[in-house]
Amino acid sequence: MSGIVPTGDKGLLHRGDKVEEFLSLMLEDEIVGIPLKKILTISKTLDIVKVPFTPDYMEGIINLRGEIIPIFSLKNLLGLIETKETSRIVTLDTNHGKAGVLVDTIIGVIRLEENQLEPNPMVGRYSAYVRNVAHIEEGLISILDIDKIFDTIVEH
Amino acid sequence: MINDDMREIFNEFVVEASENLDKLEQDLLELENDPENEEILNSAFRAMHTLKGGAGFLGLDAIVEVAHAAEDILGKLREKSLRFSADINDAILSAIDFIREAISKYEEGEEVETPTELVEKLRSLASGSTPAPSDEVSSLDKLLDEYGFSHLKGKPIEEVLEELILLPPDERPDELISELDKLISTGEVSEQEYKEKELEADIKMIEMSKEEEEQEKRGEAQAKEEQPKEQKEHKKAEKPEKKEKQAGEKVLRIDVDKIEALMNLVGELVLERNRLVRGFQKISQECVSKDMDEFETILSSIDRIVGDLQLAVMKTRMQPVKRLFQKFPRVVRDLSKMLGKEVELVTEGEDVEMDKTIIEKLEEPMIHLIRNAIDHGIEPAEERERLGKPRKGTILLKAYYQGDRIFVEIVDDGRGIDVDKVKLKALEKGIVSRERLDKMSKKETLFLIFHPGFSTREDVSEVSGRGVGMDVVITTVSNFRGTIDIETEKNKGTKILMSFPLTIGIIRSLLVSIKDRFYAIPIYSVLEIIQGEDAEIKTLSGKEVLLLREQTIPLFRLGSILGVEEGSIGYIIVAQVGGQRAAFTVEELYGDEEIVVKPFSKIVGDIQGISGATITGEGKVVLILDLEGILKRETNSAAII
Repeated sequence: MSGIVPTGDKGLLHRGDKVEEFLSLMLEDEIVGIPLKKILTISKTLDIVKVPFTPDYMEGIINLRGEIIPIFSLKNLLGLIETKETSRIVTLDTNHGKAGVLVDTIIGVIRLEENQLEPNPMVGRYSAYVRNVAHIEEGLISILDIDKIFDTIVEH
Repeated sequence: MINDDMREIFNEFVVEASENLDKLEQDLLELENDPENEEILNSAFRAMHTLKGGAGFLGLDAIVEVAHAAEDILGKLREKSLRFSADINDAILSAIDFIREAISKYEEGEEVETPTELVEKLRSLASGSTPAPSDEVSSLDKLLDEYGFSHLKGKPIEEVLEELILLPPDERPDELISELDKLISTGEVSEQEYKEKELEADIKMIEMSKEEEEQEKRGEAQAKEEQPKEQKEHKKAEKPEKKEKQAGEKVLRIDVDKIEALMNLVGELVLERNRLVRGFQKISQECVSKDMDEFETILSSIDRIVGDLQLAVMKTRMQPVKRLFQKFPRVVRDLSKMLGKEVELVTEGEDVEMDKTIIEKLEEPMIHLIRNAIDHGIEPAEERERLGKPRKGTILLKAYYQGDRIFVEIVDDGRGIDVDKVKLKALEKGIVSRERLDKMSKKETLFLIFHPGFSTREDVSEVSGRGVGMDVVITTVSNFRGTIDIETEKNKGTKILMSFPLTIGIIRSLLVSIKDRFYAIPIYSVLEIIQGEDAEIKTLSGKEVLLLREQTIPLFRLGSILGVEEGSIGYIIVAQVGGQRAAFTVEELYGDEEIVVKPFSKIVGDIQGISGATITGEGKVVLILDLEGILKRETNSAAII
């Protein structure tokens, strides 16, 4: 578990290291990472109100501290087939405003040094939304480009 | 090209320039009626000068050239070395149009070429001037002759003055001095002095802005315009002010997002207050003590303060309708000119305040309605005379409050809408079937003009059809939970009546549920509610209708439309949607409540049929239905099948 440290523990950081923090999570059998600075909250999937006349990838809306936040199916957006149940909502601060995505399980927060981040070697599937990849203990993690995903939604 | 460093300054310039352009346009239209009004001339000159300065600073050369040429004309008009004419007015108006267009091009990062033709025209108008009114000059010359200063004829005024000053005081001819004084005060100055004048204008503007600031600091509600007026007053005291003083607006520009955030917070506060009050009521039943009384006092003042706060925040979004109405004199002028009709625009209730968003979004539909009124409504002057009407047609724009809504009327005294023609056209365009049409009331028939693709005239021309159809009018109105109504009488005219909620943030809604899902239906459109078991439902050509007092009203089952299971029909809500009535089934009814509208985020965008959501006191999310949108969806999908 060397790559994984508990949330909020920043004491281990060495000054000068170019380190970025990510939330790693499971989508079906794949590990994806979301830059931590994009994340507002993580909560259980409670009370998502479905909104009629919206595309399939939109799950509905929730009340997040008095604000209405739209929730999207990350699996649907990335073209993954849903077999496992989602358990968490991750709300994000996107360049188009706040929005949430549904994920299966949260693994934890990982820190990666700049040199651990490799350019995305893949083509096809959701690779357009993958910013980097990196090897961690659990396997290969794809770091998502959240803003790009929401750019696509807004353009839609 | 605007680089990033200049962006902020450029954005400031855009805001300021559009205000100046609006002002200029208004001034010029007023000058048409009152070409000698110096105050207006001065204000127009200053506005153009400011524009030129701003554009010059940013290096927007095309604007500078045009503004400079236009400013020259205004400067000469001001000095009376040029006479106001329709040509001049047109040229300056096209200069204004050009500058507007240029600004939006610069905004997009495009380059703008100097419109040489326009600049040439402005220049030739400025130089091909009618010379200064000769009678005034000759009166001076005459006096010069009379007092033996014939050698000074045609010399600049300052030279004449110098000569006079050399005379002993008691020998100075009073008559001549007062004549010179008059010439100076009316601005008879030579070309060389022009630059100085310009400088003077600059200084005045600087002074003005300083004083404005001070005024603001002192919190005085003094009009912006008043300062230069006062400075002029001693010179021009004999001239009564024709122009109505515009209510001074002390303006602080705030990003709309910030206000939106404030609105959201206040909305939340209101909901929490409601919970607090409810919670307190529960507790107060259980325990009675002196402390509780004090608690209640505090709670009730919090209740009041929160209410006031909500109102105050709502008010920050409100703007006088004048902002909207002032855009139309130009439209009316240009259009009536183009169509060769005589039209007068009258406005009433300009101080009525409306939500900024409504004001902004209403401009285009209203332009369309005004165009229609001039194009189709108002008859040519000769025809009007024959009908015994005044030659000049009138279009009245009126705004007023009634209850918790704001009404906006557009009234013309033209020929009225011919219902038979509407019927014919609707049939021709295949908008309705004949049997449906026969069943329609007059009002329902009239509302066909709002149908997309409807137009009662073949030659839609450049006048009425500029992309915007009447359907845009109704869409815009219903987007803001507004209503629209038409009243028309042959040869008497047409009245379009729109109403809007006072605030767009809070609406009274009916809370309903279908299969345990909750929805809010804005109450303004609800006509009546019928118990499900009492309703008579029939099927008419494959569609369900509600029979109500011998009328058939199309019936929609909300459950299946909204994609939830269809519940039992507990109640039927009959609503006025657009121009027609429609009935919607719901399962349960929970009465009405004030709700705070929370629009969806930009990511989701507009959803036809759902206008937003609200959060109840218990934290539940409830969708707000837009019946108009739902009806549109249903009729559209029916058309595809």
